[in-house]
Amino acid sequence: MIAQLFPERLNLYGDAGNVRTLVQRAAWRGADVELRTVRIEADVSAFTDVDLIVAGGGPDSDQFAVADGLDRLGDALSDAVRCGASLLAVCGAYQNLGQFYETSAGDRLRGPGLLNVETVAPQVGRRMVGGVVARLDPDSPIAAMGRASAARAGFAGEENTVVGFENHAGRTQLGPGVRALGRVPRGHGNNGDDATEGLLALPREDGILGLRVASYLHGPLLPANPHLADLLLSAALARHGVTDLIALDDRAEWAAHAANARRWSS
Amino acid sequence: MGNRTRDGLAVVLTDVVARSARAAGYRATTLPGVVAERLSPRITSRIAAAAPAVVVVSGTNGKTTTTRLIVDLLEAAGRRTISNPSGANLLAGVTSMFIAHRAALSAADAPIVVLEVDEMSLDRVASQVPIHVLVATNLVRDQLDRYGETDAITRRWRPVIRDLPTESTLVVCADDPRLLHLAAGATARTQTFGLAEAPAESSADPALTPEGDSCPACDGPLARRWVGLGHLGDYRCARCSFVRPRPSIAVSVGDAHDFAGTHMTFSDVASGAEQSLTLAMPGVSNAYNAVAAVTAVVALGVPFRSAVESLSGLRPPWGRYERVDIDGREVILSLGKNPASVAELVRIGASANVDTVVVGVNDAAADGRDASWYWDVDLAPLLAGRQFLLAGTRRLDLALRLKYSATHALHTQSPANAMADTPADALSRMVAATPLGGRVFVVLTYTALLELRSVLAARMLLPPMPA
Repeated sequence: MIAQLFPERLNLYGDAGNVRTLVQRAAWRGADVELRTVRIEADVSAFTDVDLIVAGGGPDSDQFAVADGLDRLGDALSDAVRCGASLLAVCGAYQNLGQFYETSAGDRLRGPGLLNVETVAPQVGRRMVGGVVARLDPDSPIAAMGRASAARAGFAGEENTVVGFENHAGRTQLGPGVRALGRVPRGHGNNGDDATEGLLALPREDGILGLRVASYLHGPLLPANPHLADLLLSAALARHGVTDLIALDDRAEWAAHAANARRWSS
Repeated sequence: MGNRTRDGLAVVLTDVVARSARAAGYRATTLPGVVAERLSPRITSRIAAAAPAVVVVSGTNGKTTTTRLIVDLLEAAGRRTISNPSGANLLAGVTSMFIAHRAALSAADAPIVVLEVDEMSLDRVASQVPIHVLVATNLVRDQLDRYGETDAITRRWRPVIRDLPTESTLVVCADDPRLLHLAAGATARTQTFGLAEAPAESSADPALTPEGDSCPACDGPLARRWVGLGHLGDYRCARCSFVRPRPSIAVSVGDAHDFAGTHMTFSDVASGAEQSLTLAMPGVSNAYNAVAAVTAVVALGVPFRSAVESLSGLRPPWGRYERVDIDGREVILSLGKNPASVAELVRIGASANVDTVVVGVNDAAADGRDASWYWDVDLAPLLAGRQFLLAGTRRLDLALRLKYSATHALHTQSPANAMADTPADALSRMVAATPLGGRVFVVLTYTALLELRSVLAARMLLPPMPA
């Protein structure tokens, strides 16, 4: 069961495409996925039976409304992830699910702290906008998930990166020991300073059962990063006894990935 | 150096710049303005002060068409106008236009100035140019990486609207809640335009959830009774008293007759008059453009009935269902800029008589470098049962979008096999695949369409871009 979080506020840059990608890739494997939309007014039972929570980005002005919603639902959401639900948080959701998000006016919006990050929107400083290629660690489970698929498609090696388009003012700092999703050139990614992009927390690390992936990348993120989509999907389906994902023909996915990686490499 | 001398110098130099640029093959609609502003700051305001009336059109969608319609309606009413070309809608372009027409503007029977202004430049232009009629078409998410978000535009527009002189008129879309709320800050006379009722067929923004936006007045849930196009429609806040007003001039949209045109009825609250016609530009978006233009020229004294009558027989600007005959096939060229405009193109194209389709997405700055917006619109109905080709720098992403479309099984071919190198290549292959007398429907983003138009103009199939 996939839950889409607050789509009325957090679906600014086509992030609903992430949900579409997950649902379709599951369907191609014969897995019928139930999709639940969790609106801001939902009650705390909204996250029962949820295996994967997907949340995207929204306009800065909606950050307060989202924070309010998370005041009420943040604990239920965190509990679900603690008990094994996976999480994909992009952009605004990434910021709002952290320890806090500080606006450019200095207001500090506390979050559920499900992601150990802090985000500050600077008063001055350029917005980070542009295509980004994030290098994965050689032993990244995301790369491992994509190795066979990329090779089969004729794009061996592409699985070592995640590619997307960022557009954010907020600067995010990862907490001590928190792993980034990937490495990017300075001036891009979480804060422009430490060359990190996004966050990757594996199941059972730091006491939380659920896989957590967070990123500033739009595109949307998953369609041209099938390895990441499948990592999230396999974690969700594992809760229903599905241990292996059938291989798909990912030529279209890797072709788009490779073209954008070429286009956006500095 | 005094202003007059500095202005004179600026003007002489910009004339030289303009002539050199044109000799080098450029259209010189912006560079002269950049040069002039450097040499003589506020030269624009000094020239503009002489203009008898300045109409400014701004907003996310519909600026070009609405500006063109206002020009056509004023000319039909016997008023002379000057206007800036659509590609020159930043401050530099506006400056270039004023400089180029400075002689005409200081004459006794000076023309009315009708300006299309980019929504992020409105504040800068307003600081230099007195605005007698400000037409705000709508504020929609568009080319987000260029501007951040609509919030940034709203912040810039607020002081412009607040500082509009009381003798000026603000013409604003009633069906746009955010815009309507902004307009509340005006002391100038406000006239609204919008749809009279739900259109016969509408294209809601596919990213719009049933609860819709939040109320701009109190951030509560904004309920929509019906949608005209994208985010535009009838709305009422569930929490406060914010509600759509009845438009000063409204249009009711009947059925579209394919690409030929749409039957519309305009009504004027003030006089109670009603006037119908078939507008030769299909779709609800053009109904909004037309009623915006009618409201603007009525504010300038053109009688309501004659304004509406003049609408018949008008041709749309380039890239808006533009028809070209190529080898005995009818090619329809359309500009697709964002989910709302593409959703309407899909709706009209899906039910029209079309044999083949070309869809192209580029990601240059003018197209929007973040191409994720097309994930918020479903192209599949446009392509179902038809041969198609994908073009543009982001065609691989487009193919991926189609692959993940819920109704992709309806495609006659796999998107991965439907690739063309360039829009022109895609078009010639689809023309060849279309029976004689048949129709090719082409949807392209901005730079892709410009590129295709210049190829067609070089082959004398199209007139070159208007100056």
